[in-house]
Amino acid sequence: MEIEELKSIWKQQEKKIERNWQLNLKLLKSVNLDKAKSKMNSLTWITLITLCFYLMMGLFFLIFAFRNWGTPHFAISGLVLTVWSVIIATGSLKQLSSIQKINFALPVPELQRKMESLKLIILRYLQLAQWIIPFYLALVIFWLKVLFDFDIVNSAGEKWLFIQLILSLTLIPLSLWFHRKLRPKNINKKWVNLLMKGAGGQISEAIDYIQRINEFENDAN
Amino acid sequence: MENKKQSFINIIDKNKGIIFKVCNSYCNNKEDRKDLAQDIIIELWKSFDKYNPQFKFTTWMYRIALNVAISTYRKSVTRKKYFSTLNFDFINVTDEEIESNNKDEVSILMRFINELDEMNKALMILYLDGNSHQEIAEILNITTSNVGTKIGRIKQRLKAKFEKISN
Repeated sequence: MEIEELKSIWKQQEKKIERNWQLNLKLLKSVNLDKAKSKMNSLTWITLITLCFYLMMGLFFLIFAFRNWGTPHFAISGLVLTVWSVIIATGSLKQLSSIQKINFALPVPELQRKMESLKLIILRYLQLAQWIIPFYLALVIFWLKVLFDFDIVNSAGEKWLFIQLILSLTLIPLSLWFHRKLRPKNINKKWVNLLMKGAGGQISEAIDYIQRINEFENDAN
Repeated sequence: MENKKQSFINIIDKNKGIIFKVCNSYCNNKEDRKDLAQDIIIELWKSFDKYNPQFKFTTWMYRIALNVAISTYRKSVTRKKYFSTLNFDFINVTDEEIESNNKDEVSILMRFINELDEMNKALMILYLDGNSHQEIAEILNITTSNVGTKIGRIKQRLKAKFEKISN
């Protein structure tokens, strides 16, 4: 099939399109196009809410730490949880920055890659959030105090505390391992998908698509 | 502001064929095509101030139209609005079948284009629209030799399809 033949067939299609499509210029002129919102706005809002939530929680944890400065285990718990919240908030901020950089006038593969990469955010949040595992004790101490005004460290005693600290230390390598495993290349693993409560399918698709875009750009054979 | 809008409308009117052809290729029904066309125009308007004169206007327009089309309808089975639409329909698509009977060349070509993945579909539309390899390379961020290779491959597949159907 020669190119001229193909283009001639395409021209026939163009003529049909011209007959069937009408652009109402008068109406277009009267419409306020600035009112139309993009779906990127809702993603922006979700990310903004996440950012605000974790900043608020961070502040809450920090106030707790300062109010209980005289009690080391409360102060340390508050500070640990503050740091954790700030880490997640920083992740949200980076995400917001990525969203702002979305520009539909970019070359097609580049923009498509950026947009699909946004879907991988859930993986990043999980990577960051799981770092609370070795510091679970901070959560236990904090919430028992806040909800029930109960000081578990003083009640349970030094032996209990020592055991918890040892357990916490042993969980650090586990978190490190999780951090390395929770990467896009591992998305198809059953346990990763389970962790993401079924959202792994969408992420897997996003990764496959990014791979196809990369192949499209690089494939010259 | 009025001058800017009028200028925008003039440009859209002059190049509306690009929008219509992209919508036709990425959507299978009239309503989806209409929605997509409006979404593309809205995004063109939002990007109008950022147009970089370093690139041809049609390059800019193709990039946005294809990006919106691919992003919106990559997984489309039913209507899925990526953008919230305005209350006005400034695009109208009539009911005449764009593809006529199944065996004519237009139908075969359109069916073939529909079977291509998102990126190769974009490549084919750009090629059939008469864009040079250089222009296609700019829009799709691939080398001109890569454009030639891919087009050659797609043409071979299309040729085989035409031969199969005519036999």
